[in-house]
Formats: sequence, structure tokens, C-alpha cells
Amino acid sequence: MSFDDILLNIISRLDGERYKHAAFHLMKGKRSGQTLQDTEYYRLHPFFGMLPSLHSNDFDLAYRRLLSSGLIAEEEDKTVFLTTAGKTRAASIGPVRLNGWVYRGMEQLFFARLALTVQTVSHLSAGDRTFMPVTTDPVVQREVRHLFATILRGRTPEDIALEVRNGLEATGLGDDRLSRFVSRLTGKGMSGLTWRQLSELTSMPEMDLKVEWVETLHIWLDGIAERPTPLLSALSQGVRAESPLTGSAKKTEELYRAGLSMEEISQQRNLKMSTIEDHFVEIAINDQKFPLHKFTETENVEAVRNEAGRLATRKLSVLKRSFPGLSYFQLRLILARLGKEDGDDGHDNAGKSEQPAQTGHRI
Amino acid sequence: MDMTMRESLNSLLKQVTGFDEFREGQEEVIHSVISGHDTIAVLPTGAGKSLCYQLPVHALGGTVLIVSPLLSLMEDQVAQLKMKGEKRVAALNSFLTPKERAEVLANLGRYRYLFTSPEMLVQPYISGRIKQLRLAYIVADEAHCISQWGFDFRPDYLRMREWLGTLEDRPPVLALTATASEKAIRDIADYLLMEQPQMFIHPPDRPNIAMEIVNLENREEKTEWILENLSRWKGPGIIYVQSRKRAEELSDLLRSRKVRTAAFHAGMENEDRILVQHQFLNGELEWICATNAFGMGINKSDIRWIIHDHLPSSAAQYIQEVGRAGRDGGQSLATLLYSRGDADTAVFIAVDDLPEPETVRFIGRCMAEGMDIVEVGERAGLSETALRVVSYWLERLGTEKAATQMGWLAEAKRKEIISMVHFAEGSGCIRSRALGLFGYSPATRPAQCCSECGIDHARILTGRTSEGNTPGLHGWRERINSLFGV
Repeated sequence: MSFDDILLNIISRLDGERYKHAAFHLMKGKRSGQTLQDTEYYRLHPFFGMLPSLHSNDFDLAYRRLLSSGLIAEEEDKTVFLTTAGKTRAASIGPVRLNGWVYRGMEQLFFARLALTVQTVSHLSAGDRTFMPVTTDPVVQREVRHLFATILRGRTPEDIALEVRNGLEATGLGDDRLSRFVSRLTGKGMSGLTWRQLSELTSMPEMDLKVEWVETLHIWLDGIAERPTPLLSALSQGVRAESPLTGSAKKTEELYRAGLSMEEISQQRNLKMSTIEDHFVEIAINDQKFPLHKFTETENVEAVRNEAGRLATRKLSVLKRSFPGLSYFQLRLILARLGKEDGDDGHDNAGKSEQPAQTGHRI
Repeated sequence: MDMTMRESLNSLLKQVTGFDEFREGQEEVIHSVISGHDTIAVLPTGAGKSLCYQLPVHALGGTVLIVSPLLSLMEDQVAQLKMKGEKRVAALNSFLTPKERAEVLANLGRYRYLFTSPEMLVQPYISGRIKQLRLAYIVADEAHCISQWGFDFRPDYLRMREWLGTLEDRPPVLALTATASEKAIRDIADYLLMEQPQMFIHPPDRPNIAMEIVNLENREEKTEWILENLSRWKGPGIIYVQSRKRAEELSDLLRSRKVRTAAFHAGMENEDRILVQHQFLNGELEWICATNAFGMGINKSDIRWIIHDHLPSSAAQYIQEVGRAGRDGGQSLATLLYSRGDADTAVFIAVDDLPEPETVRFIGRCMAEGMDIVEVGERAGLSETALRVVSYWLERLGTEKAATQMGWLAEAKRKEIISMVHFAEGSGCIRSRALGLFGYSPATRPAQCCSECGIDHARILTGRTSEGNTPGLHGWRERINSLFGV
């Protein structure tokens, strides 16, 4: 799927209620209350954090291409929506197999470990003990060194190659796509290709190659979680997000559970009240049992639910006009709850594969 | 040096490395360190600097503390020592996990080589532990980074001065670098609190690199010249350019002429930059079009040709970049493509990178309001280096003095570029002019000296015969098999 199609897909889910920035922050995986809320409301989990180092230039170019080809258009207030042509196009796009919410950019860590492991085996099997590592990250270097002292000890290059080949085979992806994927790997006497080189060789745009690469990693990692093999599961250690909460929100949650009030948490953590509010919204989004009643009357929740349904909107500014007595914070908490409820109504749940990996047959 | 000393140094060399003879310049430096003198050694690239700090400790016992400003360089050196079978080596840096760090600290006295960064040194606990060691001597590696006049200035390095000042009984300090101007050498001696240091300054002369200056009208002519000459002669080589855009432009043009070329600049993803380095080392790429982001830590010995598409902003930078050619001792060439407009561009870019006094005041105010330093830098539109420099001086001197300091720095940079202009526009032997920038003259005149003395390209470079064929994308199973060598 091309980068433009991904962007079109996201905008179609945003339902004419958001600006283009919402899509940008989503793809970069911004840990702000707004982006996390959007992710939940609009079921954007597959795309969250799919391209952490996305450059705004690349994003703007794609956005303008969609505008000028008439697939999307902007309202006067700059919110973006799909045109009829855009809807037709969006309906024809195949299923997204990204799983951004679960990996959040950590798939790159998996690839860095894999690349260094491949390079190391390649050089060692050629009798070469010194080489310039493809990853400069000393943490990755240490992890890979550890693998060679533990699970890789005594394994032959043939054996390791077989595990990697079988793993890729099991993804069921096409040969051309896998060729593009492995062309980024480096070994003795054969270096990986840069995005630019791969683009010139395949006549595919760099952004499309990057998107495809991330999706391939997600598909492969999902497969490894279901059918673990020794090396591949070691390489994918810790790349799945354990807690849906960001680090800072997690700390706030702990303090809240310990009985501190929002004000006390704000003081103790030396954080602005608005930040703490963001954390609470994030907690409410992710915790079914969040005690909403402590922050607003139950009838308010009902009223907001009805109004949001009647106006078919989740826009804060619109709802605030209907409920001047509620604070933005209260509205956001209520919307967080509504987002959850919608999800239980059998909405598209792509990308939310939070279920634990089945234990496969270990070799 | 008397004979007994010389003999004992030679037998030490034989015993530790297996070599029979020192390379030029090494012996004097090692002798000075063993005799307990503060020492400054400026040795050209490829002269074997590391032996200068590695050998004396075998005679003196105890631990050498090596302070290195670049973490990647540090990791490199540790890896190289380990490869030679040295077990008593460790790096104490911010990359360590708490557990590893505790392990290094617990075994501190057992190491022969202890590498660390300036930031680590000023942490009270670590500093206290290091002070308890029996330090044979302290090494400042890449010492030109300590000088604010150097193009690689790293303010963190100045913290080493603060730390040295707290030592009661200071062991000798050895400062090592490949290029340093007189001014930078004074800075090094001053910042490292050296007492009458012994200096071993070797002219940055590389007789196996022929030098050439080509005068051209403008950028278009330079492009033509490059395309024509690179179709005729082979690399491997590096073209140093001023901007990312130019790097991309030239590499695209060369690729369209079937010369295997890639761009290299700070705008690329880190992973891609590493891949380009690999391809170049492997010979899969013949040419790199690079901004000055390329070079540090690159160890390719058979680079035949360095071309400058722009005027470098200082003599030290120019010589350092030229020095990447011919490390294997083979005949190589350095070409400077010069047009009259280059001086203005060079001044503009070098000084543009330095903040105006007004900007320094703005940054001072923002930082006083507790704004994040990186964000301030972005707002003020400063490069990373410039920000590093400004924030250091703001912290030490306060806003007003820091603003004045920036003014001086801009003036000094302008002067450096003017001397480069004189170099480029002057007449007579280019090698003499280049060495003259550092206050030396050449000891010998090689047969292929420079375009003024007369050179023959056919005796320096290899003619291009066949076009390189561009490889296609292989099947993924085959690629995995060849990667694993199965």
C-alpha cells in the first residue's frame, strides 16, 4: 500500500472532523492526549507511530498530492474530508496490515538486532572477526553479543539461515516484496541498499518503500508472536508495548492509585495541571474501570452520549457549546469513555491484537 | 635520548607489539611521556598515534586514563585493543547499563586502559573513584576538539580542565591530535593546565598526495570539470561539497554517467549513512559526494582522490580532509576546484553558523525563562555545533560576555577563510603554500608535488576502462543464503 493510500485511509477514518495535523501526529506516534484520544475514537490503532521519523515535508507533499488529485478537500475551517472520488478510492484499497499501536516504532529495534546478527554471522562464517557494525547503538550491540554467547552458541550459519528463511516464508508475502525487504541487510562484501538506491532500482517512491518495510516488519512480528522460533523470538524481545500507557502517564496513574489528588500529583511531579489532565484522559481511554463518576455526574455522561449521537460528532468545540457547564477536561473524559463503548459495538478492530501470543511449538 | 633508553624502548615495542621499529615521530613522544613530561603530539593521520598512548603504560605500570570526546571513537578504540588481546581495558561512559557501570567501577584498579568522556569525569562519585587510582598518565585524545579555534570544538571537553584543576598530585598529560594550528596548540596547553609541555609537532605533509588547484569560473564549470575528469580517471574518492543539495545534485549526475556514486550528508537517516559508508569501504561505491559530515572514524586506506568542490573554511579542516587520501602510502591526488565567488560563500556560511550578539542575548533570555535548550536552538535557527558553543559560554560568562566572545569568534573565522583565499589565489608551489598555513615548509619535494611544480595525472591516477554495471535486486532466498555464506 502506498504512503498516499495510507494517508487517504487515515483521513477517511477521521471522518471530516480533524485537521491534517491529526494524521501527521498519529503517524509519528505523538504521545499527546489529543492524538491518543483520536487514535481511540477513530480506530486508528494500525497507524499509530508507524513512522516515528516522518518528515513534515514528505507528509505535506503527499497531502498536497491528495488535494490536487481531488481525492480529499478542506472545509473553510481547514478540516479535511474525503470527496466522492476519494471515497471510491478508499473503498478499493486492500486491508491494512500495519500494527502500529502494538509496536510503536519498536519494530526498528527488531530490525537493527536482526541486521547486526546477520552481519555478524556473515563475517564470522567468512572467518572475519573484525568489521564495522551496521548499527552504532551500543545497546543493540550488547544485546546481539549476548545472543552469540547464549542462544546462538553452537548453531551453524545454515541452521540460522534456515530459521530466518522459514520465518519470512511464513509471512506469506510475495517474493518481490521480500526481496525489497532483505535488500536492506548487510553482510561480508555485500552492503544493504539505501532507500534512495532501492527506489532507483525498483522505481518505487522512497516513502512507499518505507511504509511497505514497516508493514512487512509488523506482519512478520505478529507471526513470530504466534509461532515463536528461538532466534526470532529473542530478536523480538520487548518490541511489543506491554502497557498502553506512556511512561509519564503510568507514573501519574500509580500516584492516583496510591490515593493522591490531581493537584497533589501535579505538585509532587512538578508538572503542569494540563499535563496531568492529559494523563487522566489517557488513563480513561485505556482503563475500562476508570471511575468517571468521581469527575462528573453520571447523567452528564448520558447527556453527552445522546448529544454526540444526535450531532454525529466528537468535536470538543461543538459539544462544549451544548454543555457550557462542563469543562473541557470533563468532556474529554466522557468522550474517552464513549470511544471505548463504540469499540465494543463490533467496530473495525484492526490493529488491536492485544491478545497474548499463543505458545507455539518450540524447536 | 641515550642509547640505553633507545634500546629499552625498542625492546618494549618488540615485547608489546611484536614490531621491530617505531614509525617516525612515535619514539620521542613515548620517551617524553615515560620521563614524566606533559606532552603535546601533533602527528599526521596514519602516523600511528594510538601507540603513543598505549606503550608507555607498559613501562610505568598503573592505569592510563584516556579522555575522548567522541563516544563512537571511544568504542572503536576499546574494540581494537580487545581485538589485539588486551583484556584490561574498559570504557566508562553513558552507554553503560547501571549493572555494567557498577562492574567497571568495582574493578577500576585492574584496568590498564580506562577510557572515559569529559562529562563522566565531572561526576563527583566517578571523579572521586578515579582519583584513588594510580594513574600513570592522562591522555586527551583528539585534543584539537578542546580548542575553540578548532572546527570541531566540543565545549564538554573544557570540563576536563575543571577536573584536572582538582587533582592534587597530577600525573603527566599527553595531548594527541592530527591537526592543530599554533593558536589551537596554545589553547590545548592552556586548557589542560600543562606545565612547560614537550611538543612534538610534525608538519601535516603527506608527500604521497599530489596537490592541485583548478581555477574555474562558476559552479557549472566545476560540474563539467568533475563529470569530464571522473569519466576519464578512477577513484575511489571523495568530493567534498558545501551543501546537501549539491551533494545530491553531483551524485545524481555522476550516477547517470554510470559512475557508482552516493551522496552523504546529515540530512540522511542514520541507517542510510552507515550503509553508504559500508558500500564505500567494500568498493561497491566508487565515489562519495559528502558534506563535512563524512570522514571521522572512516578507515579506508586506498582512497586515491579527494576533490574539494568548495573552499574549506579553515586550513586545519582542509588538511584533515585531504589527509583521508592515500593512507596505504600509495600515490594519491587532492584537487581544489576554486572560483572567485567561493570566498564570499565560505565567509557567509562559516559566520552565518555563529550567532549574532543579538541572538546570543535572545538565547540567554529564553534559557533564563527555563526553556529547553534544543527548542531555543530551533527557534534561533542555530546548528547543533553553534548551539553547543553558545550554551557553553552563556553558562560560564553570562549573556553580555558571551555575546562579545561570539564576535571575536566570528572575526577569527573570517581571518581563517581569508588565509584560505590567499592559499587558493597565491602563486608558487601549492604544497609549500599549504604547509605555510601552519608555519612550515616542505622537507622534500616529491616527484608528483603539485600542479604548480607540474604533475602528470597518468602517473597518479588509474584510467577508467569499463563501465561499472549496476546490480539488480536478487531473489530474497538467494540473498539470505549469500549473507549467511551458505
